[in-house]
Amino acid sequence: MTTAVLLDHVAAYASAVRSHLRDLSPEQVEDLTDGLEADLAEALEDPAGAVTTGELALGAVGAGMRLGGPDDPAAMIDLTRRFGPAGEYAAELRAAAGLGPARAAATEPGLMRRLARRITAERLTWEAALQSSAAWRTAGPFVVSLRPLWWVLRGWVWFVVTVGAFHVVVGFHSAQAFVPANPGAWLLLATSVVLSVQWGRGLLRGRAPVRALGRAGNALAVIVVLPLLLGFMSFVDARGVNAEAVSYVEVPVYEEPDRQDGVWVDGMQVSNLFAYDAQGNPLDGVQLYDDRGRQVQTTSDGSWSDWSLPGIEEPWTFAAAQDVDGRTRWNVFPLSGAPSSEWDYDDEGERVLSSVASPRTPPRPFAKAPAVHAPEADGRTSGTQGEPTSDEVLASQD
Amino acid sequence: MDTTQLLKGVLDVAVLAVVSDEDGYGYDVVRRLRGAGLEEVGEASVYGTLRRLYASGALSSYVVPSDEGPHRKYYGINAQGRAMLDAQRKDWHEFSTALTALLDAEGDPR
Repeated sequence: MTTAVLLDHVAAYASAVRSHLRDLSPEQVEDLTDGLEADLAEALEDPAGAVTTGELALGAVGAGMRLGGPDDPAAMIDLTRRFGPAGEYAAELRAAAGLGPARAAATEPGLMRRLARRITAERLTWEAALQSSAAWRTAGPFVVSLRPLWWVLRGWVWFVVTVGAFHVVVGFHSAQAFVPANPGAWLLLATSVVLSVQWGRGLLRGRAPVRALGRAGNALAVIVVLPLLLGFMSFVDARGVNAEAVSYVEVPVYEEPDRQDGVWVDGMQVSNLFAYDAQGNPLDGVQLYDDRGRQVQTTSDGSWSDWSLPGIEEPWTFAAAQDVDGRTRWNVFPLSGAPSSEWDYDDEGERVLSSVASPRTPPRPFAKAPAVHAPEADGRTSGTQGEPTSDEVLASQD
Repeated sequence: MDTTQLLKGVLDVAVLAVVSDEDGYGYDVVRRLRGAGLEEVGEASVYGTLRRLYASGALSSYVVPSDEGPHRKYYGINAQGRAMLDAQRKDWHEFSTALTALLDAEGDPR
């Protein structure tokens, strides 16, 4: 056994003994245990050391081992087998020093403080036992070398918890907090990682409140790190490998409505158009085209829509006109139609006017429009003439 | 007979006697006590006794650093300690003489 390994165990045992003297002042503890490590180490290495009750001379055991003794190697460095439990050792030490037994109830400390002391004492005892074990000799240095990894992980945990708490406060519920989404979040992550690492390196141990905060942060990280990692893995899964998995997320989308066919007046869709000639007389069968020759249609719905017409209670359905080639034309105005109740469905599911009904022009807005002065092709006005011929209408559009 | 109980009463004078021979540190004192025949002396008891004697002014102490390990705390006897040792040695002789006489007297008639 090397001296360094031995000293590690001795130091652990000595600190466990000190933990049982915590009710004394630091000066008393120092006075009582100064040089304890040297004495323990020498006692362990003394092959001729007399064995008192429950004690084993380490040198003797070690010699037996080398001769092939079946003894558990861990026993060799289980200091509690050599010196007894740290608590009893401390009690003997303080009794011999005339300091009396531990004042458990003299000044009753608060529940939290007692609990904290209890935890610390237990931890030190466990640490001493752990560091005395053979497994620790094998795996201990490796585990210790992983500490920086834990510091970084702990920084990330602090970041996620902080962002998560922030989300709860401001009321985001769907947003993920595992990965920074903006420069501020990256800065926060960097800060918590630096804090965690510096804390781990022991550079931030200041006053008691700081130490308490650090310990609380560490405990929190230990508790939540596993759930957070699981959550993070499912988050990565949802984004990556299993991207095809369906998830429903409510996202507000601002999109422009499709440009619709039809004619609009004052923001309202037009159902039908009524043309009047220059004298104000209503025209039938007027074909309308725009300046590119495209048909102007108020609707081309295949008679599927029901239209609400002004002054008529029942909705109307319009029918298309047919041109001479048999093609359906929706740009011939006014559209004719019939109340929706007069429409049926044929065998192919198309909507057709029932046999008893016939398409008719819906009521015009007015029977006659005011006459206008329309410029003639030759400069004359048409006001004095009678009804224009269709040629004349065509001419006036040119 | 439970010699550990007997030891408790005389540990002070035993430790003083060992240290008066030569300065010593904790385990060194233990070893010398055991070498002298007090096999069952408890290590922690010796260390505690050394501290108590030091605190009461009977011993002086100094620290010797070590190159390859923890430092050692040595104890040496001072004038007050020697006076205490002399007084207790006298007490012990009286006590042991009385007890020996008592035990031998009871054993003689056989």
